[in-house]
Amino acid sequence: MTNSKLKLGIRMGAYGGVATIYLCLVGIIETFSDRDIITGIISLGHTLLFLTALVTGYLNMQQVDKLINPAHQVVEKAPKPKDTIHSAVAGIITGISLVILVLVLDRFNIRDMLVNASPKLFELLLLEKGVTPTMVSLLPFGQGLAAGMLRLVVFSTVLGLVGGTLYLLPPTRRRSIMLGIAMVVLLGLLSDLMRIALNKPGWSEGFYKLIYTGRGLSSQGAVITLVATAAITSAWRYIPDSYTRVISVITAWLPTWIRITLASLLSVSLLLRLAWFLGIENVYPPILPDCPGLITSNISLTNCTEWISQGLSAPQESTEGGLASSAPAVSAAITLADSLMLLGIAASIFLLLVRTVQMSMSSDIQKWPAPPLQKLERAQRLVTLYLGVAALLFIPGVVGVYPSEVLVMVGLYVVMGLGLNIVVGMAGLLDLGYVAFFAVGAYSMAVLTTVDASVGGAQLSFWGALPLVVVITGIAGLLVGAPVLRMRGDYLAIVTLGFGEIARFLALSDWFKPALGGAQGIIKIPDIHIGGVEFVGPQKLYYLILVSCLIAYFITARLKDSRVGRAWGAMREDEQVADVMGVNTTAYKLLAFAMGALIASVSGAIFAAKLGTIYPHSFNVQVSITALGLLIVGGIGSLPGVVVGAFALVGLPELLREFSEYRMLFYGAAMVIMMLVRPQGLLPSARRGHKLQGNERDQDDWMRIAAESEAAGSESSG
Amino acid sequence: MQADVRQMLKLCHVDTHYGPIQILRDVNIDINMGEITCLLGGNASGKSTTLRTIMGMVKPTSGTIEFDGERIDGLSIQQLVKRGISMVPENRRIFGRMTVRENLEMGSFLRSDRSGIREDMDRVFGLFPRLKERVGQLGGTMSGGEQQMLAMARALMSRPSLLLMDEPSMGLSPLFVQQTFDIIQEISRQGTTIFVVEQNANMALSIADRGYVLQTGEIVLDDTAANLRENKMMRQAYLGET
Ligand SMILES: Nc1ncnc2c1ncn2[C@@H]1O[C@H](COP(=O)(O)OP(=O)(O)OP(=O)(O)O)[C@@H](O)[C@H]1O
Ligand SMILES: [Mg+2]
Repeated sequence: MTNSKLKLGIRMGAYGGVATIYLCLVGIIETFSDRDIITGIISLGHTLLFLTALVTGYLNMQQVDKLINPAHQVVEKAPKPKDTIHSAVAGIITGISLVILVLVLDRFNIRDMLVNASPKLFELLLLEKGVTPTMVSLLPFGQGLAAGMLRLVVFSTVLGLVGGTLYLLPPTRRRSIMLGIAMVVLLGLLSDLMRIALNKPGWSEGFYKLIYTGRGLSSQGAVITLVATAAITSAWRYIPDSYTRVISVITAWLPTWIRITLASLLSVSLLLRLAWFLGIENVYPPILPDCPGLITSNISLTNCTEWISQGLSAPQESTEGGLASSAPAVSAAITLADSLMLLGIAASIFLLLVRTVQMSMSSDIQKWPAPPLQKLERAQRLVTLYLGVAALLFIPGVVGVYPSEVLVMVGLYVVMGLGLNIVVGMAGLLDLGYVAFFAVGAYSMAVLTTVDASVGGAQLSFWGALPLVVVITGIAGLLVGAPVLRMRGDYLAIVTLGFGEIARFLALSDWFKPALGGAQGIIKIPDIHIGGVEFVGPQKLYYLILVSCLIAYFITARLKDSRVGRAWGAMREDEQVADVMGVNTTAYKLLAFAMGALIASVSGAIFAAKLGTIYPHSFNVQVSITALGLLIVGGIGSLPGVVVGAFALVGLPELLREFSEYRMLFYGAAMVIMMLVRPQGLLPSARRGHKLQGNERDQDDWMRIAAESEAAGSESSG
Repeated sequence: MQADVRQMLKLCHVDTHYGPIQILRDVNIDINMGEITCLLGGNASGKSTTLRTIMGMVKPTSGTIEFDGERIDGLSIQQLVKRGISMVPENRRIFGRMTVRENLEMGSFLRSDRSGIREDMDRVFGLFPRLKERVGQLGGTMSGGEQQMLAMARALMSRPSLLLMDEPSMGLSPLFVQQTFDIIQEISRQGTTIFVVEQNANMALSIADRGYVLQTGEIVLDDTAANLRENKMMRQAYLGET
């Protein structure tokens, strides 16, 4: 047994070594070493380097556990602390692999073959760069090659050991530590973003200064993150309960009219803010426009009346026109709503406190109110919905321009993913050329609206063109669908892949140049207007995308549970039998292509208006791959999965700019890992998950039975 | 022949090809209303092809098919289902990733009379109580025998007047075969005309009123079930006598 554990350790160590060497030679370690996670202590590159050793130790312990205790049944057989020695072995092997790399780098010049085997990598590996001197001085072996290699091995060993120990911790503790580490890495990665979002006058600036240094987390920031994560994870299970309790207290003790008034005030204040944001100025008015003034007794009601009268008498002939002229009035209204709301909240809290005190004084056993379950559930749903909607509405103003841009990209892909989900997930038609519909949508919008006289000429507005765009792309869907009606599976995939490329080449061709602009594309696509509001910039486009996402989501969700959705499902399962049931499979296939196409066209149309200029090369095969990939990551056929997948495959790489070079690698790795670890996707639709998990359960049962019979066998023979 | 026997389905001189290969040669079959008719024959003799030809999944190259006195060759599957023909395909082929209920709903896909559908749902649950216990289970996770029940129930959901079945006893244990044939008789008693393809000639002839024997695409025997059971050639070829 010990022997096989040792072998396992060596094998896992070798895997870890290969993985780290790969990361080094691909160039990831070097690229990432320019970014700090914790300033002055560790860079992203070294985090990755060390994490590999840690993960190797952890996985090794997991394997040891599986080896000696196959079915997780017998407690006495669980791995003991002394087994961590094998994780240390794995760590040593990982370290030695790196040492070999260092030696090779030292002796030979392999840069001709492997561009990334640079001198900088060499320095990074010897821990001479990218980590703090304090960390190196923990192991003062001195300077030079030998000392550096020794340090590398010692670090890997310790980290392997730590990884193994981590596995042995009780699950709750382990989870909070791992989440803590993940949070530190995540916050470190997001430091640029946080700077934009937080480092501006106000309370957020102090918070930013506390946690960040400007390049990465500060050391106290890292500690705070770890502690906060641990605290939150241990308090986590109380949160839903207290949420329910707060709501039940409010529903039971606050009179209905107060609740309704408060909710309406809140809504008014939120909506006015939104109007302000969209129509007047690209920032939200703060809570109570004159909050500090309010506190310093400059107090309100007189001020408010003043503002209101100002607002009412505001000069209407302002040349800016539209909403901007009513700014003072809106501002006054916001102040009024805010002050009333705050007063109301204060009064309600006071009321509730009084009730609580009363309750605890009386000898009544039933201290907490218990409104009827149905009422409570409804109230909870309403509150959650309200909070959710409010959060969705206020994200762009809160997070700032760049994250909103990322959200817009994610949203465009969510819409596309929802459309592709109809074709692939519901109807089972593997379409690899989905970008064609996105392109048709974008190009038809461009041609119909552009003010550049050399192409187009219709010069419609966005809203005038949109119905036409949808119809045109729907027809394109039918045109693509018709020739591939009799194809299935891999043939369909290849042919549609071809269609996607054809679309791009047609746009590029000289033949269509007069209409589509050739390689120069189409310029001067006007912005989108609704009334006086101009949707320019990601923060405003966000709302448009949000609405399209919601509409697409609603449509696909309804389709899924409809007769049409069932027919598609039957067709996906067994086309011939679906036919025998009376499903007109030809029509339903065409319908799937058309529906998928017209949903993608909306995404394409907004894309065109957003950029103002479109080129053929924006519509390459990578768009199709991303759209399909996000379905796979989220779980094919699952609608929430589309959203999760879009955030994972579009949002994450956009946020981490360094990744862009490795985007394809990242996709590939994500796909492989998904297929190995969670083939049903992150948020599988119920039935697919059911099926796969069913198989897993069978397998587990099978393994348990095998293990039991083995145990019985060894008992009887022993 | 008695006067009250009405013909429901009539195949006249039907030839069917798959591409250049001729499978059915001059097939003539009459199916009387309310009866159970069985089609026997060796492997690859063209039994499934006969059913597929009736169901409009392949078009006959010559000959005619009449249903209730009207020609139906050339009609689409949907039209045939609407007219009251439905089929239990070979190898069950239920929808694996749909629940039992959804499978049944697919059976009534072309109907829109909700109350009628609910009635028929109750009716098939009466015939197959086991399905009622498992309405929420995914079709693919059911046992082979249960899947066969589901396939039959699904076909009944279109309220057919003619039910075509392709080897309902395939792969079932003897007890299950007996049950299946009991249920077929029950369906027939409830007024559905049945045309069943079987390898299990003994069993099929014991419940059928009429039988046809197909050999390399040609009808070689055609008689009442009782006569076929006595037929010498039949006994040697299919009933296991030497
Ligand atoms: N789609 C097809 N294309 C070409 N040949 C086919 C096709 N379907 C069936 N055949 C051929 O037609 C012949 C008859 O097939 P059929 O399925 O009707 O046989 P069967 O009598 O049902 O046999 P079994 O009892 O084995 O199911 C076989 O030789 C088969 O290979
Ligand atoms: Mg057959």
